[in-house]
Amino acid sequence: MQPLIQPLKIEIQGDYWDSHIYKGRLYLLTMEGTIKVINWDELVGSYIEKYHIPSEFSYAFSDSTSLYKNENPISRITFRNQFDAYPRNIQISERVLNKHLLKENISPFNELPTDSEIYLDKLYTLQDEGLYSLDLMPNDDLTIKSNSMKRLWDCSLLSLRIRSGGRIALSAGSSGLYEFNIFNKAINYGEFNVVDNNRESKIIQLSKSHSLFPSWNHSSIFSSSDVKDSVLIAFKWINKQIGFYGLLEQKDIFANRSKGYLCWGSGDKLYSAADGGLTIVKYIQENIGGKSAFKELKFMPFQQWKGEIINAGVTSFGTIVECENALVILQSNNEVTNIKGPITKWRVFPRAVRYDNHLHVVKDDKLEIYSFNHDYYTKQANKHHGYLRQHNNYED
Amino acid sequence: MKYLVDYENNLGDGHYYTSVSQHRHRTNSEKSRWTVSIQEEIDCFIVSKSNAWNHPGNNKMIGWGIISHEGRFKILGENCEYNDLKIAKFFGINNKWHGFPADYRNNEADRPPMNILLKWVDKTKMRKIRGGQKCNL
Repeated sequence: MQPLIQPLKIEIQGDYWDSHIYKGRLYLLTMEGTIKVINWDELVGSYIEKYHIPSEFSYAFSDSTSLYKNENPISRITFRNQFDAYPRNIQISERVLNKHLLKENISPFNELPTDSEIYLDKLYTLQDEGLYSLDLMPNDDLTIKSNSMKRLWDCSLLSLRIRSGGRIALSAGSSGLYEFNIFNKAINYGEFNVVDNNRESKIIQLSKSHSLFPSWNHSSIFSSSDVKDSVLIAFKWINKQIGFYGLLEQKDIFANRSKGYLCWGSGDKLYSAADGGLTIVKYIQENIGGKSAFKELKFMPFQQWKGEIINAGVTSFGTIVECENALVILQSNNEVTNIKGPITKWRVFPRAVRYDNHLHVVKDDKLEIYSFNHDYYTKQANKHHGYLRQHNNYED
Repeated sequence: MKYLVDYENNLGDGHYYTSVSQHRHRTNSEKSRWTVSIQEEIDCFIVSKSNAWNHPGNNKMIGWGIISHEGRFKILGENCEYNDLKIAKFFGINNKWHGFPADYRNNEADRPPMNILLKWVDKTKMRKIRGGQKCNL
């Protein structure tokens, strides 16, 4: 009998605000106002060596792509067969963590960022004064590179999500939703108000409706709100160029269900939370304006004890639902993982080639890094939870 | 001391505070409303000032306040939709101040800055408030 592919966990002791993982480095924003840069591959490798763990364990935390590559099916089978030998929970003290410390920088930010993401070697942050970028490379001395910090826009913002290609979706609360087109790529925004248009970048207001957090559904943006109705800002490819199609309200998407108090999405999935449960809809962007672009997949009850849903997201390995009392991972293999609160911050890395199976959870006195590996063994076309992952040719 | 509405009440330390009637009556449907007494409103401001829970803004000083009660934040006002509010925001020009209940969920400018939230709540609540999310204060 093959072992169940349960999530693996690395716990790092410490008082953190946020974490990122990028190109073999773990960035830890501490509550003391520093940024620790950790050699992540070295840290994972040290445990493999010390505890004689099978080397395939590194796929879980350092190289998730290797499991999806079709040219390496032996590793996928080996990884699964050896799963019982992998430690389920590794605990790392600050002393041990510091053995793999590349650099600890005084944070160049005046305050803890409201939100942040890494893209093309830059850390983009939301501060009280607006949107900033900071160079992370070529070395790890971020204090020296504080001169590289640029304010890109002086708007008060709540959340950001970056899409490959340099498009940043920015939620600005009552001011709506904006797109920051980093490279001023040719996108047809139609009649939308261009807030700022310089030679290098462009800022466009795409929705005036309240926006709490954004997500990318292919080239479209889903603007989630629990104050007003959520909105899908639909784009589609026309004549080899991406162009704005229209604004679709949640009632247009979840037509047959009672009104959700929070909706969200990513990739090919959209979700609506209403009293009693979740409605899951598949989004087919190329059908926008033609055949139905929305197909209801399922309605599922949601346990009341977990409290109201206050935040959510979608990854390849499942749907993450932050409730008042717990963080719930509705996995793509239909199993459920519950992580008890209180939870300061959780983060996933859908654009990260090597870490898209990671879930980082900041708690009061530690960072928990989860590795979810079940999705490699899940038929993609049948998934209700989690977006369709391209290039996974696994057949059971 | 009896404080008056729409009057520059002298606080005795060079600062003046006006309790604005627009933030006390339901006549203005677009403004938040204090639900505590004028005394409590001004006491909230005095606590804010004495703790230096303030910072410069555009051509004015901005202050932030709470009314702490048995380890929790007391409800001090309501928004236009009668939802409870627990954080106050104050504006001051030349030591003349006024304030109103802040609605951080509907107005991103009503979110206290990180350095002040650090003094009030744990980091989990800080994150929620700065992110505009629901938070049980």
